[in-house]
Amino acid sequence: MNEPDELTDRALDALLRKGFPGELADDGFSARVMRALPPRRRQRPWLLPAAALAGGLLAWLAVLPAQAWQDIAREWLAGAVGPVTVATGVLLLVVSVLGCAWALEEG
Amino acid sequence: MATDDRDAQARIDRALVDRALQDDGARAFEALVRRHQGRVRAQLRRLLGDDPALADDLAQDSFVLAWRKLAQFRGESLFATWLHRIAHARFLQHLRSRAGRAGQAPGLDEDGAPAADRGGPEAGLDLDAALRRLSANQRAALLYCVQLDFTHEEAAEVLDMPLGTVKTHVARGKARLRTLLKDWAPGDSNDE
Repeated sequence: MNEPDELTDRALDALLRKGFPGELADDGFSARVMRALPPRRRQRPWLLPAAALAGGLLAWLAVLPAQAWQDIAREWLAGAVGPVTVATGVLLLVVSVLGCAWALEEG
Repeated sequence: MATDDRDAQARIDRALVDRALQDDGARAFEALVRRHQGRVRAQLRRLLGDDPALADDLAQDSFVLAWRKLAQFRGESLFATWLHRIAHARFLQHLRSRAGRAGQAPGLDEDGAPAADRGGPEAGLDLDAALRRLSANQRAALLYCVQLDFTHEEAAEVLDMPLGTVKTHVARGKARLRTLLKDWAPGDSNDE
């Protein structure tokens, strides 16, 4: 038997392995896990292209000519919701919904 | 031989993962749980110390998370490594939340700083007591590299540490263990 102060690397490894209980018996653990599993969410293959499209539209919106932003401001100030405002609002709504869907998908 | 066995086990895991990703994949996932629960629970029990109920709760959380994230497993590492990494991350999350509730820093003590067991003379220490005197990182590195028989590369992935850091923790942990066990002879506590 090795003297402790002469513990070689191999002897120390053996001591550590001996002191480790190793794999545990199942004892119903797997069944408990299976009961706790949430239902699998359906894959949404449309999400990535839709998000890419929405992102592209958002980027386009960001570089809209100043004239379009002025039109939106004018419509708001006049208290009338025109087509430019509606289109911009719908786009922002779509981007927000897709963002939420993405967040939910990622958990 | 051992490498062949590991490769065979990895292929079985990979096939089960592929089946578990299908709509009716729950049975395949159950097979994965049965194959790995013993080591994952043992891992968490060792990391947590003497709290098997909490270890099982964290193990269950880890498997549920693995089920939810299974599509993200790309097969770049072994499934076992990926799973143990999830479990280790869950363990660290538990430490952080516990420390947050107590208003303390998490218990990831510095190298060289003693961990849970800070009192008592060093003579007569048994292995468990000696292990408790290592830093958390040293204990974890020895757990994965020696007791669970991961390669250093796999342990680095589980611990999310650079390979060199893991090797350093293993070397320093072993050196400190040798010192702590200096006055203790295997069998002392059993032989009368």
